[in-house]
Amino acid sequence: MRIIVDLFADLRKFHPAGSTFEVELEPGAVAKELIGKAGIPPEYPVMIVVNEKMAAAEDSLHDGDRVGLFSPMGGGVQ
Amino acid sequence: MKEMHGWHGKGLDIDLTTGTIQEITPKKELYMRYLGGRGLGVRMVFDQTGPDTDPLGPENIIVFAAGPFTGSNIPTSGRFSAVSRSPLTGTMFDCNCGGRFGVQMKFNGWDFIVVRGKSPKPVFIALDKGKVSIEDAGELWGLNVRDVTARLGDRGSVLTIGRAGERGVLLSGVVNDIDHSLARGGFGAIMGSKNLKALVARGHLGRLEPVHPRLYEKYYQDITRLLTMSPVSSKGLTVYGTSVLMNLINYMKILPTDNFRKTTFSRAEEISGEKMHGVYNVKSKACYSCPIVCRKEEKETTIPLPEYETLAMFGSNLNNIDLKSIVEANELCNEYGLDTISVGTTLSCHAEIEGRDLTPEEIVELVKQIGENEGVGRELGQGSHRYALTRDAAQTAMEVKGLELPGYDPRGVLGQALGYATSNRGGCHLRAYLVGLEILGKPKLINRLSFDGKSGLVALFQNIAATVDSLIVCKFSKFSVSEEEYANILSALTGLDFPSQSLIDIGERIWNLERLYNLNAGIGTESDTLPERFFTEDGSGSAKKIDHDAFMRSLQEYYHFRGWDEKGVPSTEQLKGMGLEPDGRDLHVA
Repeated sequence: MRIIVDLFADLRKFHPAGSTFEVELEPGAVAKELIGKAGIPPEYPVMIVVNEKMAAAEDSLHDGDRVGLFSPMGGGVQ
Repeated sequence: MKEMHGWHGKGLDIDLTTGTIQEITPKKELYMRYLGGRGLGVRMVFDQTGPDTDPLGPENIIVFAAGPFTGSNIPTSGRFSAVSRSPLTGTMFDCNCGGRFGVQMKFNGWDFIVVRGKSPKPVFIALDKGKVSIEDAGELWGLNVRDVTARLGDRGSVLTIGRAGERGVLLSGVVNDIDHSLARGGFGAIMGSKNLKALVARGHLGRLEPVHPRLYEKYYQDITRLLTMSPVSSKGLTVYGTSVLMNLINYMKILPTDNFRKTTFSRAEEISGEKMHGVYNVKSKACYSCPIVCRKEEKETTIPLPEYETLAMFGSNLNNIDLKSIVEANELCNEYGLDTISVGTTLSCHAEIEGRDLTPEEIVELVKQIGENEGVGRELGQGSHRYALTRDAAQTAMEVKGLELPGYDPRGVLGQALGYATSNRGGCHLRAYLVGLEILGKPKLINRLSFDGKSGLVALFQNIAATVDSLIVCKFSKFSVSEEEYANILSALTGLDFPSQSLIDIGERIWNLERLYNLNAGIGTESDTLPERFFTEDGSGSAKKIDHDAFMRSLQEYYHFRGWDEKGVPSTEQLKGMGLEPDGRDLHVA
């Protein structure tokens, strides 16, 4: 199945070929498999967003999913 | 008074009308029951002002308050608060920031400064190694922040208004150490109305010493370890700062775009943190006693770089992809002393009324006009609520209780939506940062498109944030550190027993007091709502229009959870349980 991956923040440095790319995965693949496909080291902290929803590492992916990989973050101003 | 630890047990009361300076030694119960910072200020503003107090009149007071943690080495404690009645919203209002003024005030031996009255001519207040003076500010009046700071900087940490505050601009704030802002709610105008240009502080006392040093050290290590282990506080914010939120919030389709008419921006990448790091040589900066180091500036020029909120409200919210114009607008807001959220959201209101996008040049020019209180800036500087009324276009003002909404569209984060509507100071995301749960999954992910279970969470987060603002620590530390750790270290510092539940109870007391103040001012259930747009128009993607019935049910649940009646009025029993009289007085501290 075909997945589109978007990389953000410091994760982009692991995939110099580009911050948006396609990945081919076996049916039944789970979200965390994309981390390795993006060249990100296994212990590196990553937030996974699948189709506008924050996902867990073990969530199943489906053909045509769009997945964003982010660094953990937060924000506000007084 | 018996020696206190953490607190000095005294503050200043300065009457600018008469030029008198008094030392105040409150009862210990004031500190025990309100801690400091926001809580202490709210108690004083509640007791000394009311619905008839003109926020820009001499009877209004402004309380600058530190907390028991301020001046210690507790991580993220280098902050201080200002509390007053806001001229923008008419509500009880507080701000806090991470400049060093509060630390230096503590190092002078003061927990707080109450300023009242109006000086016959412009003055500044100087705290110098225990001495206090009111001095002529004739040479400073008319100057913006950097110039004032250059002139007074050798006397300590400078907290000043720019020309916007002098000229009564309701969107004006107060700036400390060049680029730390008490930004929201019009505090610049309050100081301007008192002819108070600035305060400067340089202390002589050392860092606070704990009563129980060994326990304190253990808890200090706990907090430090938690901050270091959490990727949010040790990686995300440290490396990128808040600007890194732009792409994430856009990806989740809750990015305010085109005056909240859309919730995703196709060009978000151009105003993102990633882009900023590509264009500018970014250097990190920290507040006093903070290991998170989230602040960013340009290395060579030291120009401060915008936070997420500024990128959103001056960027996507204005359909503006010109990053340089946002950096320039941000610097102008620092210089004049203006709230970037309210200015950005008022400009987007103006753009919608005008029926066109503002060019980057116009955006920068309008910020200047707002700062100078000139041209159309005169009307815009009154905020979107008043401005939209003058243009017969009330529906274009994206505000709650008169305070402009920040960078998270409520349609895609319903807990945050309830947080906005019930915030005591108006459209604020920090009273209860539900985005943490609903988007970031901190501490756990919840369904952002449902109101289920949100009412209790919003109330709890509001209580905790009130405590955090009174200790004072930075809300960024709350991603990793809980009230348990803060209760422990507070107890070790002060030698007094503060179980963690007691901290949350203090927060609840502060919240209810703010609510009572607002109710007395006629601000109640009718304003616990959101602009019409969010109930009638869809945003982008899953950010559909909010079901008004579902919202009202959630609001009623929230009132019920708080022990309030169906109009959101605290019951006598509820107040009694917090040790308050039905009219809000606290006999323990009177």
